[in-house]
Amino acid sequence: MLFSALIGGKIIAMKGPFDSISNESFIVAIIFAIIGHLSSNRLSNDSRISIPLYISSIIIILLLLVSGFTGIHEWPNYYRNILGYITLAFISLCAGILSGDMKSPPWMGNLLFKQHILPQMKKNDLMFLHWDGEGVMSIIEINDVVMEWIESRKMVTINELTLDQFSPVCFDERRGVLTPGLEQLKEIYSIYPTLCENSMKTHLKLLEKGYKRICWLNLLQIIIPKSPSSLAQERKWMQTNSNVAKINETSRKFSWPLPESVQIMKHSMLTKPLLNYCLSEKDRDDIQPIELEIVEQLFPKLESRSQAYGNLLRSFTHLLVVLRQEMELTSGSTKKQCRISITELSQWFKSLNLQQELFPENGRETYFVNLEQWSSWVEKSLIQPATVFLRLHDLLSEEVTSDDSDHQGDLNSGIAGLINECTRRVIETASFRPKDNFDNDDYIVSSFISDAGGNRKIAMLVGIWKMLLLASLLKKKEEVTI
Amino acid sequence: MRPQDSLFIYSNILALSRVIKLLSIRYSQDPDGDEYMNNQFKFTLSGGKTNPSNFIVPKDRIADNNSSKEVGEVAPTIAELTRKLTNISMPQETHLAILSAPEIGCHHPELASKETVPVVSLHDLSGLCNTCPSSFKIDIENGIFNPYHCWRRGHRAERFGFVYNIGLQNVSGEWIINNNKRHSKISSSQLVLASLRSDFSRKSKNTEIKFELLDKRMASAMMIVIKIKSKKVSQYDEVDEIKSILPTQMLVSSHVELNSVFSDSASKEKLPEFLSNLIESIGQKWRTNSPSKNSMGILSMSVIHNKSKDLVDSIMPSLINMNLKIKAIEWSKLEVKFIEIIDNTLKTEAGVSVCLFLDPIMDVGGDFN
Repeated sequence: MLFSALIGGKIIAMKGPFDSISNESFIVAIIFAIIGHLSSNRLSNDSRISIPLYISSIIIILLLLVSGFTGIHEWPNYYRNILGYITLAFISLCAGILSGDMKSPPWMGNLLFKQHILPQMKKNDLMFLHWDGEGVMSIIEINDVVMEWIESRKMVTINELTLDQFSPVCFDERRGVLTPGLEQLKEIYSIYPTLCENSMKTHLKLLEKGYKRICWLNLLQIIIPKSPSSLAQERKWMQTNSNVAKINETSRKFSWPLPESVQIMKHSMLTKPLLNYCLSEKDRDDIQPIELEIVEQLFPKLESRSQAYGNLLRSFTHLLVVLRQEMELTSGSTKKQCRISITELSQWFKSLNLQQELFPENGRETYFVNLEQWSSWVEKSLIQPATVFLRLHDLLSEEVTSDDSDHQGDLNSGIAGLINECTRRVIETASFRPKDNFDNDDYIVSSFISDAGGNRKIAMLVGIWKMLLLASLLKKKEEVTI
Repeated sequence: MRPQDSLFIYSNILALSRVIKLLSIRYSQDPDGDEYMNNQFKFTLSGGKTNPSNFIVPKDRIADNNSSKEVGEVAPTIAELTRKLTNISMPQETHLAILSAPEIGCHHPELASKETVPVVSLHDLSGLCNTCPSSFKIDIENGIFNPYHCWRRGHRAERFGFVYNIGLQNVSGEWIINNNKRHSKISSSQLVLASLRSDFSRKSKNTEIKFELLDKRMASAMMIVIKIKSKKVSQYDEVDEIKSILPTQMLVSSHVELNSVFSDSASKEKLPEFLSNLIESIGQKWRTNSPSKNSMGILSMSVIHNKSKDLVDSIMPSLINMNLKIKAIEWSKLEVKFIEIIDNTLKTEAGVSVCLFLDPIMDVGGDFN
C-alpha cells in the first residue's frame, strides 16, 4: 500500500493525494495507530472485521494506482484529500495492528501450550488435578487432555471444563503423596522465550487461579473437617501435612498448602457459605451434597440431625478461618489465644459424634453464621471476653428454661451440659482461692492474680466459641446479642 | 441392701448435689441474691481482681516498721484485710465478710441479740446456721415444706429444690429398690433437670429414672420419698420355674431348695432395719456431699400412709430411734397436688411413703466459698 501511495505520489509530483492534506493529518494518523494497537487482537482475529479490512486495503491500493496512472492532478481537491486521509488512516491502523497483541495472540499461545508445554509436563510426570463444582476431585493424565481456546469467552478449557478449575499436580514418590505442580510448570515456562511466555500467560493465569481455588477448597473441604487442629500449626509445618482425599473414586494421600493469605477480600465471600462460594461462586445457601457427605463421614451416628450438623460445620469452618486469620495478623497473647482456641475447638468438634443431644432433629430450623458475623463476634470477644461469656451463658440458660416440652428435653440437657462444662472450666482456671495462697504467706502479693489471667481468658474464649456455635445454630444471628 | 441398690441411690444423690453445686456458681438461691451472684460471677470471670486502692495501708499500721514497703503499697496483713473488708462499704465487691446476716434474710431468733454478724461467720462450725433447723418446723399438712427465709436455706428462687422418689418393693421376701422409671423419679426445676440429664449422659449412665417438673410450692424443698408397697411381688424366674417342675416329676436337686417358702411376716420384720439403714446412709451421704459444708443431713421425716396402719406401726419404732423429728400423717390430710408428687398411688392403693426432708442449706456464693 505504501508502495502504491508512493507511486501515486511520485508519478504526478506536483499533485499527489497527500499534497493538499493539512496538519490535522498527524492527529488522524496517531488516533488510528492507537486504535489499531489496542484492538490488534480483535481486528486481526475476528473475521467480521479482518475480511472487510482486507477488502478495503485492496480497494485503496487500486484507487492509488488508478489515481497515479490516470492523472490525479485533474481530480478535484476534495476527492484527492479524501483519498489522502483514508490512505493515511489505513496505513496508521495497520501499523497499530502490527505493533499490538497480534504479535502474540492467545490462540497462538494455546497452540504453543499444547505443542510444547503439555509434552514437557508429561515428561516431568505432571498431571492436572480437577476439583469440580460439586467438590469431586479427579486427576487427568496429560494424554487425556483436550485443550481448547474459546475465543468468545477468552477462556481455555480442558475436556470442556474451564482451566481455572484445574491445577498442575505431581506425585511425590518419596512421601507417597500428591503435591502441587505449579512451580514445576513455571520452571517449564521459564525455558521459553518471553514472546512465547507472553502468549501463554492466559493459561498460567488460569492455572494459578485454579491453584488458589484448590488451596481454599483443600482448607474448607479437607483440612477443617478432617484435621482442624492442624490449622493451629505454623504455616511452614502445615506444608508437610497430608490428608487422605478421594480422588478418581480411590483414596489417596494429598498434600496442599494453605491459601497464601486467609484474609478474605471479596464481600461476597464474607456473606455467603465459604465452601459454596469457592466451589462454584454461585449464590447458593442450601446445604450441598458434599457438605452432607462430610457430615455423614464425620458423624455417622447422627443421620437424623444432618441439617443441624451441616449448619454447624459451616459455622465451625467460618469460625476457624476467622481465628486463623487473627492468628496470622496478630502476635503475642492474642495469637496464643487464637491458636489454643483452634486446638480446643477441634478436639470438641471431633467429640460431637457422641453428643447428639446437643443438636436438634432435622425438623427444627437451624442456622449458620457467615464470616462477616464471625469477624465481628471474634473481635468483640477478644476485647471483652467476660461480658460476652456472661451474656451467652444467660442467653443459653434462657433457652433451657423457656421450653420445657418433652421433645426439647434432650436438647435442653445438651445445652445445660455445654454451659456447665464451659463455666466449670472458666471457674477452675480463673478462681483465686485465698486459702491456697495464704498458708505459707501472710501477705497478699499483687501478682497473685496475674498468672491465672492468660489461662482464664483462653478458657473463657473457648467457652464463648462453643456457646456461640450452639446459640447461632438454634437462633438467628440477630437474636444472638452479645 | 443389695450393692446395686445402694449404688443406684447414692449416685443419684451425688449427681443432684453435683449439679446443684455447679449451678449455684451462677444462680442464687434467693431472688434478692441475684445481683450479688451476678457480681460474684462477673468478679470471677474477670479474674477475681479487686481494686488495690481499697486496701492501702498507712505506713504506721504495717507490722514491720523496718520494712522497705512505702505508704500505698498493696501489702495488707490478713487481719488488716479483714478489718478493712468489714468496715469499708464496697457495693461492687462480693466478699461475704462485707454482707451482714440480715442482708441475706437470716431470721434466726438469736440474731437480734447479736451485733453485726457477717455472712461469712454463718459458715463457721459454731455459726447460727447450725442451730437454725431446731428453731423452725416443717409442716407439710399446711403446705410448709421449707420454713426458712434466708438465702442459705430458704430457696425462694425455687431453682434448686427437688423431690427424689425411690420405690421400695418386697420381691420374693427381699426388700429391694425398684429402679425402673415407674418408681424412680426426680422432680425439680427445668434448670436442674436439664443439667441432671446432661450429667447422666456424660457419665454414660443408663437412666432408669423419670424426670418431671416440680410444682412451684414444693420447689424450695429438698426431699427424698421412699415409697413402700406392702403388696408382695413375686418374681417368677428360671429358678421358680424349675421349682414348680421338679415335684411333679418326682425329682430332687441338691442345688434347688424346694422348702424355702416366703414368709410375709418375716419380710415385714426385715423392713424396719432395712429402712433405718437406708435412711441412715442417705443422711450420711447428704451430710458429706450436699451443696454446703454445714449440711446436717436429714432434718426431719414424715410418714404418709394409706390403710397401712400395721406397716406404719412396724416401722415407726426404728425411725423414732434415729433421733429425728418424725410425724405420721394420713394421706388425705395433704393437698392432692402434694400427694401426686409424693406418691400418686397412695390415693388409690394401700401403702406408706417416708418423706425425708434433707437440709436445704447451700453456701452463699456457690462453690466459690
